[in-house]
Amino acid sequence: MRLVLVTGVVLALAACGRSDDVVLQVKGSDTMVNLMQGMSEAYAKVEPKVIVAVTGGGTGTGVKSIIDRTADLAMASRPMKAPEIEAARRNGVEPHEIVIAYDGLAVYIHRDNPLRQISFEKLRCIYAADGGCQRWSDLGVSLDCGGDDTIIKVGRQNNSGTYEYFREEVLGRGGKFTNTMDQSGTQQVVDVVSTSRCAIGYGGMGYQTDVVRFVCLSRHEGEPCVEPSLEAVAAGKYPFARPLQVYTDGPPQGHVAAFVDWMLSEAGQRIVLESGFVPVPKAPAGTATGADADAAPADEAAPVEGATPAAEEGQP
Amino acid sequence: MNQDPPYVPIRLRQPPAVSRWAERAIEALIRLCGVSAMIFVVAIFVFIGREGLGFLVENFLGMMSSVDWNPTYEPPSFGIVALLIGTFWCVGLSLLFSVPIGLGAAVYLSEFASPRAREVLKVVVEMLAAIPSVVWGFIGVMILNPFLQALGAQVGLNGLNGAIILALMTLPLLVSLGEDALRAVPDSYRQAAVAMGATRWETIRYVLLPAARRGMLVAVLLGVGRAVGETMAVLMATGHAVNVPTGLFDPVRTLTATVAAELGEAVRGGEHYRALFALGLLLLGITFVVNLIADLAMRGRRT
Repeated sequence: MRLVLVTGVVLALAACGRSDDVVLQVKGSDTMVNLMQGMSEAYAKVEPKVIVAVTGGGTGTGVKSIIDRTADLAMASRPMKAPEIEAARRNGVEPHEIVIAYDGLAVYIHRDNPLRQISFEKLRCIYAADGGCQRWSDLGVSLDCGGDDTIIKVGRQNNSGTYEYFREEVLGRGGKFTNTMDQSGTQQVVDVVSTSRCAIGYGGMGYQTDVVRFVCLSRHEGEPCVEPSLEAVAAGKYPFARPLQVYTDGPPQGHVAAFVDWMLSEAGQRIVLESGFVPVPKAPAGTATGADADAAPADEAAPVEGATPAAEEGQP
Repeated sequence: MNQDPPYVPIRLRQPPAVSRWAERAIEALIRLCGVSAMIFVVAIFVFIGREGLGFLVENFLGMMSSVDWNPTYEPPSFGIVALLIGTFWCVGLSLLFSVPIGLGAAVYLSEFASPRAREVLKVVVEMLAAIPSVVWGFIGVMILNPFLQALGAQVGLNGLNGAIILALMTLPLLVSLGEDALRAVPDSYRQAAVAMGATRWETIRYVLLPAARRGMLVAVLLGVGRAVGETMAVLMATGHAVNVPTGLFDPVRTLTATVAAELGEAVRGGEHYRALFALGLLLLGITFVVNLIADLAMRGRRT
């Protein structure tokens, strides 16, 4: 894969004509595009010769690009699936996962909804095709929306990482969604929930308004629930947080490694926080991951030459 | 004056081969422009067919026998029954609004309006046609959404919302084509009707409408073609839920909106990607058939 990097660098050189610039191609998750753009801009000040080119297109696109070797880093808001890893290996690519931040998902309801807490089981009852919860009264909530209390189920379009993550966590592997109103962004989910009192929706944590409320979440019925907050996610207490990761072909090397290390440094993690995501816990890497078994590579990637000066320069 | 004719042929002959070549080149260019529409249509069919036809043929029965559209599941399911129903639900409902209003407006413009009023109204109707799709979608979200909720809908983004937006979007087409059809009826028909003592209503009902029947049908069919293919506005207004509607206020999802929402993240060449192209091919087929029928009806009118 060093060959890939070299090829990438050569292509980049050919493209921009300046002999000493390096271009790192980063593609993937739309959830992570703004975050990575912020990283790219800040890193340009630290390492002016390295240009980080960020493209969205979705986790699927990112994964595809690492399989095709058209990107140096793939952004993914869900771990790669087994068939994707197989496809990569068939192409001689060994995907290497590095968690760079966490994203907390929140469940949104209208402020008039008296519901205060909900468990994953109840969410499953609402959202699964075979769940059976059609009315708010089925959940013991009394809510009236014009003589009717049918639950308006709002979700995301079927190729978003958020949709996939919600499905995996709440519906279980292979679970099927019922007919939700599929929106193409968390903002739209919140818009629908804010205009419909009987609606419920899910999405990233950064979209709370005066009209919509978070619901306190617990994994199982009867357990104490946790309100979504950066602190709760960082502490690993919030049940609905997912890792945001990047993939490289094999352990990162050279400029890629330097960039990855910088993202995990204090300067990089500050941008994570500014973008509304949750930083990766510092010292004992891998403790807060929970759901994700393969988080260890995060610290594997660290000890590479040239990384530390970059990280230090990043702190003003 | 008499000396002019001898000069003309000399002048024409003077610039030799070069101009003849230029002439031919320009002629060829113009011919190319003439057939370019055909080239584009064929190219579009070939391109979409290449990506989607294989999938459509392989999975046609599966697609047509299931309401589960879960293209990202493992194993995926590509049932499009709910999407087809959603599409025709919206289009059908929209016709309930657009046909009476559009053809009524056409009758008014052609038979009742003063020339001045007609000019003003035609300009306004044309302006209606110039409003971009995404603006209609915005109107659906911002204005119709709360309005329908006030009428008792649980969610304002639903099939009815999409249908009203579609009706407004197809209205200009219906009005102007309908008016053309009515005005194409010779005045002698009107005079004959009046001479026989027919009232205005009787003239319209028994003489003009039957005479303009085919033109009206063409207007409606082209409106249907437009409505089936409309994307952005229905994506925003219908609620985008894969759902077989049982009530006016149920959210639905259309074929076009599905392609628009999902193509961006479908892996190129993958099954989902090809399935979306198959949807595109199906849409192309539907609008092609509708337009063909309209065209045949138009020809029928002329004979």
